[in-house]
Amino acid sequence: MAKRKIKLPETEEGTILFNIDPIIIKQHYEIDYIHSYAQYTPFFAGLAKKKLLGTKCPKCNYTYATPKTHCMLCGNKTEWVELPKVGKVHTWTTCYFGSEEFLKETPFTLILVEFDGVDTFLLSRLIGVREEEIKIGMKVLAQFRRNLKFNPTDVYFIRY
Amino acid sequence: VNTWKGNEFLALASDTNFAMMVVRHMYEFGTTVEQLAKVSIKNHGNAIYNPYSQSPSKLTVEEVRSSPMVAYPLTMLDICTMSDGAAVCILASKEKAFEFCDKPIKITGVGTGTDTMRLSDRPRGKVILLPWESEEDYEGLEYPGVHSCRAGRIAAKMAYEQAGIINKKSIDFVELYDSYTSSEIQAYEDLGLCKYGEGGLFIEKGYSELDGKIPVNPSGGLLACGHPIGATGLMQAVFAFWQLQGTIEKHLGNNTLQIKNARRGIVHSHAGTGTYVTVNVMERGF
Repeated sequence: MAKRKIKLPETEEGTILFNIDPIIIKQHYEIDYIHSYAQYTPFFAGLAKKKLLGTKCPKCNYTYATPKTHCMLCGNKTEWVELPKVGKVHTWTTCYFGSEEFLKETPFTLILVEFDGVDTFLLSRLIGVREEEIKIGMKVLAQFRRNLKFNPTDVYFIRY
Repeated sequence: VNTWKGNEFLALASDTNFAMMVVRHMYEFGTTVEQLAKVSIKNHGNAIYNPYSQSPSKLTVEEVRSSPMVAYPLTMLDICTMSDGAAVCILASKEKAFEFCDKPIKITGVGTGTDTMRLSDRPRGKVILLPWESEEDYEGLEYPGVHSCRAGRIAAKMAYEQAGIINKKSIDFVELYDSYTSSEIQAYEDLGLCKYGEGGLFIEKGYSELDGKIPVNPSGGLLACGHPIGATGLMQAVFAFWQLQGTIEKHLGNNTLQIKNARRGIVHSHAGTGTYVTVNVMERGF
């Protein structure tokens, strides 16, 4: 009686080798992060309400445009405060190179925004102003993305 | 990640930060892009005589300014190349040092300074003064803000105090962190080689050239030698070591870069964007 051959099923896909001696092969790898914004949640929730939130130390009154949950000077827990939507350009640069995430958006302009009564600055992008027109001290207005990505790029600035 | 990918992450974060710092520096003090270019010309030019350097070249201001723009106003030639490399220093007690070599070098001052990691968090207060400066020099200046590195100034003050430096004339040369042409100009000021705001003039008047008042980066620095990150600080220390020993000719094959009678040198190195800076004072131990 003829024996039936036992075999693993085959597919038609080939395999690409980058080299044969030694054999070099590519393996695809991707990862999804599930990550919590934890105590910074109010900042992102604020973006959804078109509000820019910073933090303020109740003890020494130092106010942070880029939120810090604890004061860097005295260590006290800070409180959330609403920042003005209009600020000034404290400094800027136009990026012609970027990481993979932002490369397709180059060139883009980054600014440090200075707000009245706020001690630290906020890093954000300046849209719609040509490089030759950017001046330190010019007024800028915060705008918010409509279809939120819930990351810091949801807020950006235009000329005021 | 591969070294080159890690380098890419570091470089991208750094480029925009240093660019924003120099834009403010230009606004506060009138520093010009031509002054930045002169730093590049000096360091790449010095490196021609340093076989350990990666990119020795004779440059002009037009060439530096017309190389591809990376982050305004810094172009490719304003920025060092991230690299791979290694350096070794052997530390020993005084007795042992003389057993190993006739010309050991002494470390007479060590200083370290830190500042916030985020550029936006840098405070605006008063200048931390060195012994040869006074408050009147800086009336109305908000410091460090984003134009200067408080960490560098703190490190320099600590190291100078330990080494007993009360006069900048007693410094024979400096190997400082020129990851960018602008960081060299900022470091002139942080190290007290000139007042805050006069860094641009310092290079323009030729004070930091090989034959200048205080030669800076005679080796070609990071701009021309390359930036092997972890090894960079030691690389700078090795070049300083050979200067102090008087053995530049032995190691580089020619003595063009030898500073005559170099007795005391400063080595200055950064981590982050002026987040963590160290300053070491090295002197002849013989």
